[in-house]
Amino acid sequence: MSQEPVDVLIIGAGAAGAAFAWSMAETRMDILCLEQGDWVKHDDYPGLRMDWEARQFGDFAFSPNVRCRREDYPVNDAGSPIQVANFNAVGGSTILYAAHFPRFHPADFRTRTLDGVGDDWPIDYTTLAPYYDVNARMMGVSGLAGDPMYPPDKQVPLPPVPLGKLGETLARGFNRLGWHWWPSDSAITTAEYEGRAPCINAGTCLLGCPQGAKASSDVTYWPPAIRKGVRVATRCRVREITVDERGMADGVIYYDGDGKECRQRAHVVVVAGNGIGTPRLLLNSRSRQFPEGLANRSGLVGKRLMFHPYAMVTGIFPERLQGYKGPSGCSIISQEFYETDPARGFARGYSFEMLRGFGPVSTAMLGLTAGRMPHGEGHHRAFDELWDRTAGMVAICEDLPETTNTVTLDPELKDADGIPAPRITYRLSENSRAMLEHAVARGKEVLAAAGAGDFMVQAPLPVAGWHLMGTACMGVDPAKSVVNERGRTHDVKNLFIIDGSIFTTAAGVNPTNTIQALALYIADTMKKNLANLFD
Amino acid sequence: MTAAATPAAGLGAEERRALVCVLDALIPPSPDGRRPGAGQAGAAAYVENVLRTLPDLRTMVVEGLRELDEQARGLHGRAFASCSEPERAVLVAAQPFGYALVPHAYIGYYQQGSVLEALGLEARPPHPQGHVMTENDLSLLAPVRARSKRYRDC
Repeated sequence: MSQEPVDVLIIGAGAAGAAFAWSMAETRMDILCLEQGDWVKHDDYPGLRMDWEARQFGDFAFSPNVRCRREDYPVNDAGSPIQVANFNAVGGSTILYAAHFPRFHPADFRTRTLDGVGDDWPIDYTTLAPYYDVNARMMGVSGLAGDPMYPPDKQVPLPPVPLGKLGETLARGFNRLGWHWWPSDSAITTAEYEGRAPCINAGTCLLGCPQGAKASSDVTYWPPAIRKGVRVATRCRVREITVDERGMADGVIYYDGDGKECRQRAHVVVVAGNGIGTPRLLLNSRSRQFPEGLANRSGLVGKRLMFHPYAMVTGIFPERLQGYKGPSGCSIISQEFYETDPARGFARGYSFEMLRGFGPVSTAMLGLTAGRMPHGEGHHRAFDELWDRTAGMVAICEDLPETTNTVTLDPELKDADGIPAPRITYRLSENSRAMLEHAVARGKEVLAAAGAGDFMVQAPLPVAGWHLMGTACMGVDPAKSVVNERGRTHDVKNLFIIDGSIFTTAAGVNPTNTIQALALYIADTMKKNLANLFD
Repeated sequence: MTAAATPAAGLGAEERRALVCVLDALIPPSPDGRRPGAGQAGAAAYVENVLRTLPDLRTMVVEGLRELDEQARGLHGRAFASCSEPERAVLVAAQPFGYALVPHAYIGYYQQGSVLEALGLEARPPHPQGHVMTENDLSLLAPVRARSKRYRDC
């Protein structure tokens, strides 16, 4: 890299970093993004090979501790019932995400005022609504207008993904109970869109999309951002953000792909490392001015970690459902139990999201995990009872921020470059436990209404730490938050954070749409305030 | 949470032959004969690749295969691979290493083209052909559309 400072240095090329870079590109400033992973060649995606399902247990596993690629950093999550899931590449975790793309509700920004829990955000739904719209256009979101769970102005550019026999079977179950359901907002192209091919219903979304129909940010935001002059340097792992004598961020020290220590100076540093990577980096960035970690005078960097505790309920049906067809994580959503109802015994709520069925390998492994798939005699009979007869649903439960749920630095574990790794300390709250219990009962109820005769349950789902939030939270009070309402850290005036770590609360939906809307909003406020950005 | 180990060596010819028999014991042919056993189907190649990357499991399997052979010779007077299917099933059931192989046997088996065809699928990966799906029946949404707004203003 050049010894000259860049105008804007972005750390992390995932969902947030890409959206932010694209928005800032119009300024024609010198913008550089450092990404510890590499570009994923679409020919390398497992869905093109016979062993595609096996790869979820190896180099395309959700857990970095299983993948063990060089670009991955290990995570000590032994102290958590939920394991961290991510992917380190240009595109970040959007490479493996389901692309379920709901928005937050207006009430999600006012949980303290409305329900007496969590904290109110310093911004509201109407602040983000225009950026949700931009994001829908840029990512190519499919869905259907008119959902009574959302304000009526929510629009998406593409028609919904196919429900298929499985989705329609479950929809009938919801209708029998009179419960809400709606076709999922999905960041998946259902028709030719902006040069992207349409989804072919291959069902490999969680292992990457060779078709390019799933909106990972390497195929959506990065190409136009790069055409406008933004540079992405891959296999560059940032060790620490450095500060000058005035306490302003002045650049980073990173390791290149050969493990060589390098220096990059910058006028503005923007962190987009996700809810685990960002606090890890800040805590590793200790200096005389910031002995407890950069931008951590509040002591809240790494605290208030929120996952979405998942309850997974799988129904076993008498008939075949063709569930191996279609986007694997997206068909219909139900928010019947989303808004707070004190009679339920917990605050806040959850979304139900219907999953598809499973491929043969996943069916066998699901059965094995559930103790329903013996080897030897009886194996084939047991397999046939599950094969293409399962319909899964997950409840995405809103987690509440608690300072005892943390990301800290592990005293021993390090990545391949010797940088201290994150350690997760997390316990399920009583509120989350009650919500999970409610969701399991309601999940069984609706699956039974749809025709399921038997069930398999995992709650909390251990391998579901996809949504990493809250560890550098947004707020107006520097003593109670890490960044202000514009994403700028309270303590360092040229340091911004734009990923899920700035979430004040978690809501009960997948966060990527809101992460990107926030990144676009922060970029826009920066562009509007360039003259007094550091005031 | 450790870096990937240096790949271990593959199995010898005799060990491989025994592994195929073990896999057939873990997933035998289906009673109707339409689905092959895991060994017949070719799952051993996948399992052997796994063993190359998991040296501890490889050691356990190699020692287990040797013990199986010794037991077979002691009980039946011939090598494990030469025993009958019922004899092999009994021997494998008594071997703890068999349980460690089960998930790998399942993963190796259900990716084989002959197995996919027996399940009624095409023997191909999902991409690039994908799958055809029916049009959505959005009339199912009528009762949901009939309800009033469900979100809270604030």
